[in-house]
Amino acid sequence: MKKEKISVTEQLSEYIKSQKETFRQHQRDLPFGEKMEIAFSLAERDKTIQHAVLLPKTNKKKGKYF
Amino acid sequence: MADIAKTISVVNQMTADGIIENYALGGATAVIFYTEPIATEDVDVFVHLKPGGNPLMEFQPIFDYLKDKGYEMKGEHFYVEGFPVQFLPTGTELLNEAIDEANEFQLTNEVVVRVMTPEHLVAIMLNTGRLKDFLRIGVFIQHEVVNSELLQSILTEHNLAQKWKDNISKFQS
Repeated sequence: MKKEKISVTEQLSEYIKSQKETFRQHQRDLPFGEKMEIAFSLAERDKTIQHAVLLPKTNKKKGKYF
Repeated sequence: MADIAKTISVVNQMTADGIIENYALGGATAVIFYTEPIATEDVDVFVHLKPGGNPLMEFQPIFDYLKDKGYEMKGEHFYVEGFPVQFLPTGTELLNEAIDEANEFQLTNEVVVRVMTPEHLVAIMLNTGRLKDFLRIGVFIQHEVVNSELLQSILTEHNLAQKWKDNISKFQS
C-alpha cells in the first residue's frame, strides 16, 4: 500500500497541537492554589495589555480624547 | 504568595459561625478548579444568607464579621488571607440548586471546599450568556468534565434546553 506523504507544515502543525494539549493537561493537573496564582497573573497581564494597547490616546493640547 | 486554602478556611468558619447558611465557589474560580487556569480578578463565593435578616442590608453580617477579623474591603472585594473575594447572592432557582448540590473536595488535610458542579456551572454560564461565559463553556467541553445526561436534565429543568441548542455551535470551535 502506498503511504500518504505528510507535508512538513502538517507535521509541524500536529506537533504544535500535541504540545499545546500536553501543556493544557499539565496546567489542569496543577494544585488549585497554583492554578489560582496563574489565573491572577493572567488577569494582571490582560490589564497591562489593555492599558498599553486599548486605551485611547489623549490630545494633550486639548486635554480631550480624540 | 497567598494561600487559597486559608481563604476557603475563613469562608468555612463563616458557615460554622452561622454568618452564612451555605456557600459554593462559582464563576471563573470554579471553572479553574475543574479545568486549566483562566484569567480572574477575584474568588467568587456564592452564598445562601441566613433567612430573616433585613433584605436591604443582607450582606451586613458578612461585612461586620470580616471587618471584625481585620480583613479589609476594597471596592466590591474583601481581601481574605491575601485573595480578593466577592460574595454574591443567589437570586434564581438555578443558583440556589447549584449551591445545594455543590461538590465537596478535600483541599488540604483540614480544609474542605464546596465547588459548584461542572453541569451547574455550564447552565449558569449559558443563562448569563456573555461572550466570556460561552468561551468558558468551550473550555469545559474541551476538557470533557461535563456529564451530558446530567447537564441536559438541568437545562430542561431550568428552561435552558432551547438556548443550549441555539448556541451549541459556539462552544464547539
